[in-house]
Amino acid sequence: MAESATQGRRPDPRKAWQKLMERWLKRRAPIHPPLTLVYRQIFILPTRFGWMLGVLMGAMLIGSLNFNNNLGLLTTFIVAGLSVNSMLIAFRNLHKLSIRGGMARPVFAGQTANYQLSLQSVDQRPRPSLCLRHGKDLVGVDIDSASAASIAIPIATRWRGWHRPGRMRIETSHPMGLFRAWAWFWPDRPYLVWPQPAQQPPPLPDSGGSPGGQDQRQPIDGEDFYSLRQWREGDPLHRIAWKASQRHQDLLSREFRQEQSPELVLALEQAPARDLEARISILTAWVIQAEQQERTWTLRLGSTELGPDQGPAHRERCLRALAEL
Amino acid sequence: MKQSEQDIPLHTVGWTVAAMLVAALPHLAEMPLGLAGLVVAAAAWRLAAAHSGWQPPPRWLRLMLTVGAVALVVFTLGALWGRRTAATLLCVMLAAKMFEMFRLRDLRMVASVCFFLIATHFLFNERLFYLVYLAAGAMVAVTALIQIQRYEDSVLSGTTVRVPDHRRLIRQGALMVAAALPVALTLFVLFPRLAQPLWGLPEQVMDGRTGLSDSMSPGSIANLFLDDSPAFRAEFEDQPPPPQERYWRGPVLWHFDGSTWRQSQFASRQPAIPVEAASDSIRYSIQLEPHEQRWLFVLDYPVNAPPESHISLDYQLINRRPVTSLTQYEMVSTPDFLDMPGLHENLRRQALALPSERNPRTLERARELRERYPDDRDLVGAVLRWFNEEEFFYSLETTPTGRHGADEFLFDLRVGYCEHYASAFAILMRAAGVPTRVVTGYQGGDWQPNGRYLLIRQSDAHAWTEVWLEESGWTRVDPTSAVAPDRIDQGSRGAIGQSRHLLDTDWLRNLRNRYDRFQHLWNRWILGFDAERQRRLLERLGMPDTRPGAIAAVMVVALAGVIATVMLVLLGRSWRQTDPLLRAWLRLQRRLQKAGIRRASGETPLELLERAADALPDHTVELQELAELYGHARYGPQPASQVQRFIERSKAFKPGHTGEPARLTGV
Amino acid sequence: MSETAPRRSARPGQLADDLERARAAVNEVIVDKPDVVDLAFTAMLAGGHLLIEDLPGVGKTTLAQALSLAMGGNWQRIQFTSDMLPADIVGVSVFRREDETFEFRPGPVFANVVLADEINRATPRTQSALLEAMAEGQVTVDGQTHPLPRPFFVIATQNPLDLTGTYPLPDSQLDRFLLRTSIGYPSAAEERRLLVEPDRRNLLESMQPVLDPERISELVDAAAALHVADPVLDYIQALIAASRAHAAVQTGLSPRASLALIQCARAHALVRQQDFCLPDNVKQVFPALAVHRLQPLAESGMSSEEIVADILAHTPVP
Repeated sequence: MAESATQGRRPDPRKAWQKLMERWLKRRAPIHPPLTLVYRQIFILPTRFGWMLGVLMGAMLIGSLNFNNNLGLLTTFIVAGLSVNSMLIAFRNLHKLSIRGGMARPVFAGQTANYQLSLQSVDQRPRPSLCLRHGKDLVGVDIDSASAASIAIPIATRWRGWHRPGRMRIETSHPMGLFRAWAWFWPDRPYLVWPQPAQQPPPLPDSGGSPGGQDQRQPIDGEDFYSLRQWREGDPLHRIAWKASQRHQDLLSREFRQEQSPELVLALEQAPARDLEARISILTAWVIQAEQQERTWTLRLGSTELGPDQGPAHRERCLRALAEL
Repeated sequence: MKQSEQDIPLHTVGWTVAAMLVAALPHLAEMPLGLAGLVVAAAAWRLAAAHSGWQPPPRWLRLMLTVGAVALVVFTLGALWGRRTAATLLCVMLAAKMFEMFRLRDLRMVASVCFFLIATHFLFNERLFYLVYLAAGAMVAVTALIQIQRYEDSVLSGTTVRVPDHRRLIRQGALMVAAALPVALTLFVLFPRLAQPLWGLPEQVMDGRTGLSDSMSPGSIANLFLDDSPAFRAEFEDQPPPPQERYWRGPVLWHFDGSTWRQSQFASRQPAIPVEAASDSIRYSIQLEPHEQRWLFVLDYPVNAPPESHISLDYQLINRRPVTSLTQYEMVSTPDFLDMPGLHENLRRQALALPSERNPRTLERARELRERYPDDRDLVGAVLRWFNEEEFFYSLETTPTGRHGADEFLFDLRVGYCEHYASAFAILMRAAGVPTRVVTGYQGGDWQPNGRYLLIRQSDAHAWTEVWLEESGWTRVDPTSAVAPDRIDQGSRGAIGQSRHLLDTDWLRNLRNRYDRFQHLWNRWILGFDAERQRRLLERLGMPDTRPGAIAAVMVVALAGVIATVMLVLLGRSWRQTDPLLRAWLRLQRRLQKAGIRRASGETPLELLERAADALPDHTVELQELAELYGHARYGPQPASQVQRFIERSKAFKPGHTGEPARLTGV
Repeated sequence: MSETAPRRSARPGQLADDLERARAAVNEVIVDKPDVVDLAFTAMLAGGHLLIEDLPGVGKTTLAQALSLAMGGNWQRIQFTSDMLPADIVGVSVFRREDETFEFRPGPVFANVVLADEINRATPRTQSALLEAMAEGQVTVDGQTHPLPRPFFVIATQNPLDLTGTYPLPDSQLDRFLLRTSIGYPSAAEERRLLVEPDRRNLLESMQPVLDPERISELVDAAAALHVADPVLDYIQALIAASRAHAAVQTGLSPRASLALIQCARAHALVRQQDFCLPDNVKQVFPALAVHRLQPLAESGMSSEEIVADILAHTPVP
């Protein structure tokens, strides 16, 4: 399902057919969110059960006509009316439904991305029993009047990089499962898949010097100013904060602590693997480790260099760069 | 998905089982008790299974159950293959389905077959009352389908399956059925009817329905006496004939085998000698309840034969096929007619035949009478006098008779019902050499002054005789009238002194008559709506061409119109606000929209009105005031006081398209 | 809005008039920014704190000063610098040699109105000392708890562009501020007036306090009791739900934020002299409340402001 942007494609008749359909639909109405569904995009056909009921209705019709049985006919026609209304209601359930957004939080390759869309009823009519179908995956949602609903469809990921989810189908068999109304659309906002982190990565480069990063985060001394406290016997003179002491008419001394360990440089060449993908995997694992240990690191990918920096935001930048590589 | 196939919760299964039971209810009442019990038990088992989470029984067991159920039906109802058997089989099969109804598609199938089951029941009974059955059955079946879909959707969306609000659910079902009516009625009126059936109907469809049969033996009519159900109704163009003239002719019986009278194949196949309409002809129309037989009831003597029927030599009106649904026909009858001035030898033979060695005392009596009264007319008069003057009684309480039934009746018992008198009289006449035949049918009828029609019930069934006399041809002689003249003047109830059963009270009969009036209208407009009536209705509505093709075309057009209307209602403002304040607000919004100011998505009401006040300088003050009123009415702490004012003011607000200064509307 | 909003009809009592006068006084100084002024009052009456983020020179400090003055009570101004210590804000325990005890010397945070100027210049430790005081309404020094005066209202300013040598408030700390707003450039006409007329900052000196702590407390109570109709609650819920459902949002608004939204809407209605809360109040405070609480998804390419505008534009108003 997840068509890959970075990996090679092979010609696929199904894909060609989809392209054709996409082009045809595109001429009728917008097919990329944000869009609001109107009659041009909505298709309706009976479900299997609908066809079955149709056959049953035919039998009832012929029987009642033959016996000239008017109440039998009335029953038949009530079923016909129910079917017609079923069709109209299914249509109405999609008509003027707006589909917006379309994005997924990045995940590591192999994980499931949750592609999110938000659905809203433009005319504030409640929309029960909507289903979003993407390939074999199916997710349902009800929209109460007025409020919008967010719907997330799981997408299995395999390769790193930016991907488009391909076509999706919003459908409904409300109210009686006789008819299914549906509309196709192609969310064009891509989602990012980070590389898969290596299962058992080698230790961080240069981490030999200071093993067990825990000690480094509780140092007694350091270079960064940490706080001011009451002077105690034994505090060195140069630690006395004279200015502050004067303000508070008391002897205060300064506390320092070392917050960070030495800087890390993570480079593609350093990763001990031959294959590019394997190296990227190792780097990915390193980046995750570095962030977990709250270290500052620089990621070097060929000529581009990210950092030095730290924190989750830096991690995401790095992972994205690795995904796009 | 797999999960949805198993363990369908009780609330979903329950509605489906309920739909099945409601649809099967009238069938159950007609079934042998054992079978009905089995059906109910199967339904109960399924409910219990849903409640306790039982698994479906193994396949072989289900198969055995199904085969066993079918075998049981065949065993119980015998080989008689009628509609009743078919309907029973359908019910029993549905009951067997209960044991494998563990997937959503099975539930759906059962719920939809309920419609079929409902329609099937109308083959037996189309009474007005069953409209309630149709409505209830359809409603529950639709509710079941809605709940099945709801359940499927909640499984798909992975949300926990909530127990539905059952009252809301059934209301939704009712609404769906009500919303189906426009399309259903359009189709009902305009769907072209078949003038002739597509395939022949089986003759042997009678499954114990009561009514006149094509033969008469002692007790066959008396059995009908307790049956108050309508046999047919008659409407007259002018006044109805007097009670003593209300003889509704049915089967004419020629052959007597000693106990049973039967029809003559010869006479019923021969065409009748045409009867002319005259000034004293009676014009009337009949709505005949289905009685599964081919004859139609008429007053003497029918002038015309309705389509698909013919008049036989003995003036029976015979339909081409059994009457299986309510049938309406228009008749003209001429009472003054000389039926058969000369009797054909063949017919005379038939009208005089008697089984030998039966009723010797009667034969002896006939010889005696013949000797005393050589003239046929005198003979008839003498016998009637005899019935009248001797101790003959008219009663339902008769004693079964043996081989010489007429003997026992005439000389020993002297207590009997109309068929005893008719039969004995005919035997006596034939033995005396007077050609005689027995006519069965109905006599009398309840005049319904409100509906202006005559209601003839099954209990009005009657038998009388016709004797052939020189110069007058076949002449009606009703021996019962000699014994119990009240029977003829006041109807069957008049003849038997006591009330027939516990419920036979005046006010109840009155109530029943009143209900019958609706039934009559129902029959006339709904059940009797056939190809002919459809054609006439459309002609009256000004449709020039009423061939089926043209009707179909009109139907398609009308249907398109109805569907378009339904759709507009569904899509348009059908999201009908029940709150008058919001209704007024939406109206104001629409008016602004017409003036070119459309509410943007996410815009608050006051923002909209402020924008409108800027855009429509003529209405600025008015709009500002509306804004303040609406704010108070909708969001304020005491809205009630402001709501009415806002509604009135907003009603008065009419932005002109021309931009003409609206000074007067300023406040 | 101001034209057509339901007026507070005939509510007796000084309170409303005083509020109106305070508002007018501040508007006198801060010209052409009534919405910002209203938001500032809203934050105060909702019992929260205000963060003003903007470029230098647009009048952040002037606004804060004017507010402080108009509110009366004692007020303190803390000009944050990089060498400032937590003790410089909350105060310090001092060892008294005479009687061998520690004595607490309250810092400038002990005031009804605290103007925290250029908060991003202080180190994170110093910042968090203030933020903790704001969150808890009390100060703990050397194991001793000292309650802050009531009402307690912090107006902090921060320069978003002046990044060198500063410590911008971390995202996780931003929601200590009930509302965050910016002032923006004045309109052309107004700018002209600023050029021509005498400096309005001089007005500050002659400004008289209109309110006092007691009355502010009463106003806070009045705001909390303001009527909120069901449709307005629906709207609030819909906005919160939309923020959670929005595809570009990493984390939506918390239940605490929805509570804050009601409080702000009520306070805003009170500031606007209304008897009850309108959806318009909700809509106007929503950006100031939501923008700094929403975490946009990095990949969405949408800023918090855009997301909030999107939510407002697509959430129907009941």
